[in-house]
Amino acid sequence: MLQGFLEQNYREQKPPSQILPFLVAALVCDVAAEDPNTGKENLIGIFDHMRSGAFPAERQMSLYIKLTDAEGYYPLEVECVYVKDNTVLAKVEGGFEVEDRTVSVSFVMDFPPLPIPHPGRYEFRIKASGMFLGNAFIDVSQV
Amino acid sequence: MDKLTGKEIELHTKPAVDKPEWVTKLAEQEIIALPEEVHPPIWPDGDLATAAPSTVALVGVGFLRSGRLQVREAIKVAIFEAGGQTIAGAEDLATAAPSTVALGFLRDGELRVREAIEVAILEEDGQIIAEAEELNEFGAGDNQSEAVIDLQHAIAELYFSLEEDKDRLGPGLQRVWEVLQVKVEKR
Repeated sequence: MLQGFLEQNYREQKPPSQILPFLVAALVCDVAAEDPNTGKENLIGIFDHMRSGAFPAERQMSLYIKLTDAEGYYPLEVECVYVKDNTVLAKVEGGFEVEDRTVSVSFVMDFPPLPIPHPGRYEFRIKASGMFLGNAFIDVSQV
Repeated sequence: MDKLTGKEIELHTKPAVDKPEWVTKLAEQEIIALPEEVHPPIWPDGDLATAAPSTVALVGVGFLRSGRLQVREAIKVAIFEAGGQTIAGAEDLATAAPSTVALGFLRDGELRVREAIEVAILEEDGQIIAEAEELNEFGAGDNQSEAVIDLQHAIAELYFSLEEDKDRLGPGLQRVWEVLQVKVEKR
């Protein structure tokens, strides 16, 4: 149902660019805040490992992505996946347009509390125009 | 977990006094652990509308903060229940294993993917196989990520080895080298 909703939203868009962007950075952090004076992104509490005493758990987190070498319109897709069984826990879909491939573009995704059902590795898989650009991961262990 | 590097967040459980018994709030990090009996399966019929009022549901988040981007449509975040059988009942988005991946990068500092490489994800004898048929190359692992990483390394190795022998390749490998040159370039 959600898929249908998103597809409907994309129906009127330009054709997705097939120019492969380069993923400069993908970082998971506690908070990503923009400095109102300078416009600079501040990433606070970058991490790739966390521990929990009980499962399932939940945690709020932000994902920072920086891309370059992109030109045209890209549907953007980020999946949070439990790697062991490839379960998709969360998915973000959107789109962006870049006119000049020499500039870099950045995104911050403020996720609501994400379910963490088990210890293990979780990945944020980043796709633009359906092309897998890379991923950020967190390893979760039991205290 | 022995391969971990980087910064860690240490969490210590501390039962919350003023919360219902089933809620355990972990000190300072705001992680809430919910036992399964109070975290009921959502999505019994794969319908998002049914799932929305549940503890874990669709959330709308606007997230672009770049002055250089034009936001073309609202961005939605869907959160899924992670309990094994329940997820299997969810259609579309919760279907976890895509059968193909358009691979857009190799884990090699010298190589850059120019055109996405089609990779099929298969399961064989309990192992996950990532296969790039056009390059006659595959990777294997216990899960999709491991298989794709193995394939990425294999493709990079293949590139360098064919490059070294490019003047004395047989017809089969010559064809693979031609495909590789279209798909991959040196930085």
